[in-house]
Amino acid sequence: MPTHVLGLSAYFHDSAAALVTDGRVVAAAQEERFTRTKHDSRLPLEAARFCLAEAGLSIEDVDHVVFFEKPLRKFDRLLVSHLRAFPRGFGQFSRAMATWLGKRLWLSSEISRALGCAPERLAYSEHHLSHAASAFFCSPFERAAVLTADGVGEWATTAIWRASSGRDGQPAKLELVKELHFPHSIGLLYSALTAYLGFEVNEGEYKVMGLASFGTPRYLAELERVAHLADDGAVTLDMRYFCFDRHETRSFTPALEALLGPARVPGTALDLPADDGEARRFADIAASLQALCERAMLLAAHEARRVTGEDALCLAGGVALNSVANGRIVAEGPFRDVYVHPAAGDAGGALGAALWMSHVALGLPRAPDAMPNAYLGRGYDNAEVERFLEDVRVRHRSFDDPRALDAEVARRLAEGEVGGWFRGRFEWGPRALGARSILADARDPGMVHRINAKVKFREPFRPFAPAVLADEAPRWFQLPEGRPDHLTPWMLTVVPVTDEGRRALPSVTHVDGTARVQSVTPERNPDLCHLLEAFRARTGVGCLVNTSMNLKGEPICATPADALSTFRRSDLDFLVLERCLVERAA
Amino acid sequence: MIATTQRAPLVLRVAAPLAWRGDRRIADKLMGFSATELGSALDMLRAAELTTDPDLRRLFMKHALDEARHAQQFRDAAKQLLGRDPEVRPWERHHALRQDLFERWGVTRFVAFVWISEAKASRQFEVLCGHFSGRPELQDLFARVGRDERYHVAYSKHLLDMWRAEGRGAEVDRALREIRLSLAWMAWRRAGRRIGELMTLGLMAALYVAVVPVFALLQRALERPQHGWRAPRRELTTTTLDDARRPF
Repeated sequence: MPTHVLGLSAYFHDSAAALVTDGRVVAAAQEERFTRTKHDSRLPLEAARFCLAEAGLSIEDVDHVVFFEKPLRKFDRLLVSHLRAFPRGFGQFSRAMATWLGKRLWLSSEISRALGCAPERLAYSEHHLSHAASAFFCSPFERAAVLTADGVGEWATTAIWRASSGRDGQPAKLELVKELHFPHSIGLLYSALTAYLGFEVNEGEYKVMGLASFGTPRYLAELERVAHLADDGAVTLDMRYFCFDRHETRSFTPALEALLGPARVPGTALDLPADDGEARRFADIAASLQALCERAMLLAAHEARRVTGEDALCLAGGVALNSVANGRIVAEGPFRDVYVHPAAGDAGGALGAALWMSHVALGLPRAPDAMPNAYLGRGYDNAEVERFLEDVRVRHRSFDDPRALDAEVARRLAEGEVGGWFRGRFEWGPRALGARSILADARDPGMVHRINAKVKFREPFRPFAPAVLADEAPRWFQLPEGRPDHLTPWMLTVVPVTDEGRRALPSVTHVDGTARVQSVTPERNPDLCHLLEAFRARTGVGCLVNTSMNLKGEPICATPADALSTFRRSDLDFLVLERCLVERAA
Repeated sequence: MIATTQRAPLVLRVAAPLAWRGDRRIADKLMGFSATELGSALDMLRAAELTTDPDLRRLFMKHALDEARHAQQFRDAAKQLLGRDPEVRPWERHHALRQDLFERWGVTRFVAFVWISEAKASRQFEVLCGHFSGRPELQDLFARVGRDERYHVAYSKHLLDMWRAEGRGAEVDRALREIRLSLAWMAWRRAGRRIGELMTLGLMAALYVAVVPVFALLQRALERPQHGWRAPRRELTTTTLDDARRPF
């Protein structure tokens, strides 16, 4: 009998569910894709139902349901934080206690009731353990050091693990070597400065990363006073500058503003590189923060290597979504090989919890290629899509021959059109990897502006990423030589663009001459690969702009209805839904 | 057919000048409307996905797109009003949530709900259109949204009438009764939640003043600040299935 384990993450941000059968990932999805509430943190009931339906199971068939962290340990941290902060922080105390006493302390019964599973099948992993498991058990490594870093889990904010596959029938091992505790957290530092820079926490960190490229790190000395970084990568925050431990909506104190200048008012323009005043100051602060974060991660990686002796590294936790830092760890770090989980944030904890249960607690052997790709969400067959389009009376062209569709889309993109691309199961993790993407010609220097004007409405300083045929990637991008590349398939690292690439692909070259590349192979994403080949046949370039199919503030599309709604509310020129092409005039 | 809505009740006309005064307050209310419209758009989109009737699917899809557009228009108007007052950001207080009404209620009650709630919204927008006669940008906004709402009232009424004509009158009447009851119950629950929140706040305040100080002092006396890497506490590591059964 196969062993089915359902992993759940919830109640902070990005709740998710993942189903693992005999150590293989069957389905995984974030709740926000179904509920359409960005970063939805509620119990992932719809995602769980989807996972079960995808495998043709009912909840009775599931052997274990694993929550990704220990709720009571988290409650302990919350209580201690409030005792430390007393008499400040009553507002957050009252809200947090109401939430915990009213709901979260009774998580077991809530999950049992909501999912209909027996309470004795419920188990709890640990937050960073789940992150570590998500990275190691999806990696190709037999043994590795694992570095997990995020805002905070129960108590830990950063942790180093030693991981190995089980041999001779022994269970796999994930051994915690050392950890940093709340409030000393590189993730919380990044989030607090994200708020200082006027962006939304847990949403705007990517914006800070984009903004950093426009600045110089001239505030590094000031930030080092705020966050002391030891040679072994341990960060110590000076809590005079922060209040995230006692305040729900504010994470920094006036002392930080006294040190760095007034915080940016959210929504005010950042006209870069033209503005040499406040916008420049904010860009410089972002650059300093990014530099500090990269240094912290590099030092922690060195420490992981020193204490574990391993020569492969797995990374997970929200900080592992900092693709610039990942790029530096690959290029300058002490490891031969680096793997980052595609859903490195809290959503990935659901999958990690299920994998930990399968391999460590239950001792199931690791499946080869447990997660061969990141297309683990819901898909729709062409007949379903066609019926939907006919029902809502949207004129479309249906292509029996997918290559003819590729040729038509390639022609349109080459002529400067911007289109939606909805093919196959949707992606696991925060990146659109060519299943729910907006695609455009990367050769056109005005494309960033056009995509922003048509659909994305992003801040102009944010770069767009390229999807490139893997065999062509070295022509345009300087990928690390002589080592396996586990990061570019999932758009998890930033690399320099070659001189030829800078000239040929201006729309995906960031101001600092880098790009967050997605390399595409026929094994991982055949549909996107065929399209890139058709585009190359027409233009000589197998590279396109690839950005997520969503409007500002909304989750990435999941269903044909979402995609059609996005198309209708934007100025996209066309929309591909499986083998149907919807044009603007429709 | 475009439905005619009943004249707005007196209470709405009297309340409008009190509720809709001052740009900050207006922006806040507009953002509330935006969140409501967006939540409604999500429910309509979900209904469009779930229904198997092609005509309903088309109507629900169109309705979803209308509501999403209204949400954007209300949001834009709120931001426009507060353009020079960046300290106030009401969009952070209002969040749209899908309520899965189609799944919970089924098609008849869902359409009954659409008819009742859209008619109410239509009357409210009519009042607001009049209230903002001195502010053309807001008057125009409510007039435009109101026109769409009247269409929503019309199509939902048409569906209910059609089902009545098909001999499903009792089912339609029951659905309307149940939805009116549900709406009243939801309003009561909202009020109850607010009362509960106030009571919780009082209770927490008492706890914070009477109990927390003692433990805070103890905490400070006993705690030794620790920085840097820590070795794991073996008794707390989760390695076995038994460890995993503990929520602590």
